[in-house]
Amino acid sequence: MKADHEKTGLVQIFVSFTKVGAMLFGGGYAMLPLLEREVVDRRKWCRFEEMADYYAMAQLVPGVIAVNTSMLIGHRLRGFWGTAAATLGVVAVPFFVILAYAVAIDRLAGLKLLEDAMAGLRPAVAGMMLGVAFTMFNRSRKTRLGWVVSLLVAFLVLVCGVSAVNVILTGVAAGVIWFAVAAAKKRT
Amino acid sequence: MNLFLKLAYVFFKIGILTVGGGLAMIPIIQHEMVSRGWLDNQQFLDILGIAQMTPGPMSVNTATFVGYRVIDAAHPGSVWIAVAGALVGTLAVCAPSLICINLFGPFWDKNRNHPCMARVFDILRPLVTGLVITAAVLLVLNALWGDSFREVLERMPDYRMFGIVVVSFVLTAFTKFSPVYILLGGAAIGVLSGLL
Repeated sequence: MKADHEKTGLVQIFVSFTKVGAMLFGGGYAMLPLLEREVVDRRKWCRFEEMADYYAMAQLVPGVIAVNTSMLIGHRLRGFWGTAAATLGVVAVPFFVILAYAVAIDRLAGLKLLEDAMAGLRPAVAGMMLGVAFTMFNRSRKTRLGWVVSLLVAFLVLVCGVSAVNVILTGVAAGVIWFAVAAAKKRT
Repeated sequence: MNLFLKLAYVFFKIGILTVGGGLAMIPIIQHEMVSRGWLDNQQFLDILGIAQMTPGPMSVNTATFVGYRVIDAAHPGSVWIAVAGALVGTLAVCAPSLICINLFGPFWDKNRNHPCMARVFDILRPLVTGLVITAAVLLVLNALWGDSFREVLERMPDYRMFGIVVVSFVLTAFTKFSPVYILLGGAAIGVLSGLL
C-alpha cells in the first residue's frame, strides 16, 4: 500500500487540506462532502469506504474530528510528516480568518453583508450534509445490520437526546463483544 | 505561570477532552474560558457565532481567537506577540491528535484486518451514518426554522432557503458538482435576497 503513495508530495498534502479547511463551514461533520471531492475523487488517495472508516476512527481519537480525519489520511500517505502537513493545511485558512477577525473585531461587528451571506451559506451546508447522509445511508442499508444500526442511532441521538460519545463507546463495546462471542463459539 | 505556557496547557487539555465532536465540548470550553476570565459569556457566544460564519472547527477557531486576545491584553500594542499567542493556542488544541495518531497509527495499520477490529468497524460504519443523518437533520432544521424547533409546526420556511437546501442536496447526492460553487452560490443568494 505504502509504495503507491511514496511519491505523494508533502506540499500536495498541505495544499489539498488547505482547500478542504478553507471550505469547512459547519463543524467536523460537514467535512465529508469536501473530503469526498478532494481526497477521493480528485487525488484518489483512498476510496470512499476508506474515507468513511478514517472518519469513524477519528471519532475515537481525542481531538477535533476534522483535524483527526485529516491527520489519519496524512498519516496513511506520508507517516508523521503527512500528519503535520495535513494539520497545518486544514487549520491554515481558518487561522488567518480568525486572526483577521481578532485584529479588526470592532469594525466588523454587525456587518450586514456578512450576516446575509451566512443566511445563504447555512442552508447550502445543510443540503450538502443531507446529500452525504443520503450517500452513506445508501451504502449502509445494503445489510440488515447496517440499516437497523443507522436508523437506531439517528433515532437515539435525534429524538432521545443520547450523546454521540456514549453511542460511539457503546458501538465499540458491541463490536468487541460480538468478536469475543464469535471466537468463543468457534472454539467449542 | 508564563501566559504562553498557560495558553498551551489549557488548549492542550481541551484537545484531549474533545472526543466525539466539538458540540459536546461547548460547555467545557465555556467553563475554561470564563473561569479564567479570558472571555465573558457574551464574548463566548460571539466567538461561537463567528466560528460558524468562518471556516474551520469551532474549537480551533476559539483557540486562535482566545490566544490572540489573551496575549494582546497582556502586551498591548505589540501585534506580533499576540499573533504568536494565536499560533500557540491553535497548535496546542491540535497537538493531542498529532501525538495520538502518530502513536496509534502504526498499530492501526498493522491490525486493520484483525477480526476484532473488523467487527468494531462493521458496527461503527452504520453508527457513524446514523450520526451523519442526525447532524444533517439538525442542520436543515436550524437553517430553515432557526433555533426554536417548535416553529417547524407553526410556519413555512423561507422558500429561497428551502430552495437552496434542495438544490444543494441534489447536487451533492447525484452529481460531482464541486462544494465550493454550492457554498458560493448559497452565500450569493443570501446576499442578493438581503439587498432586495
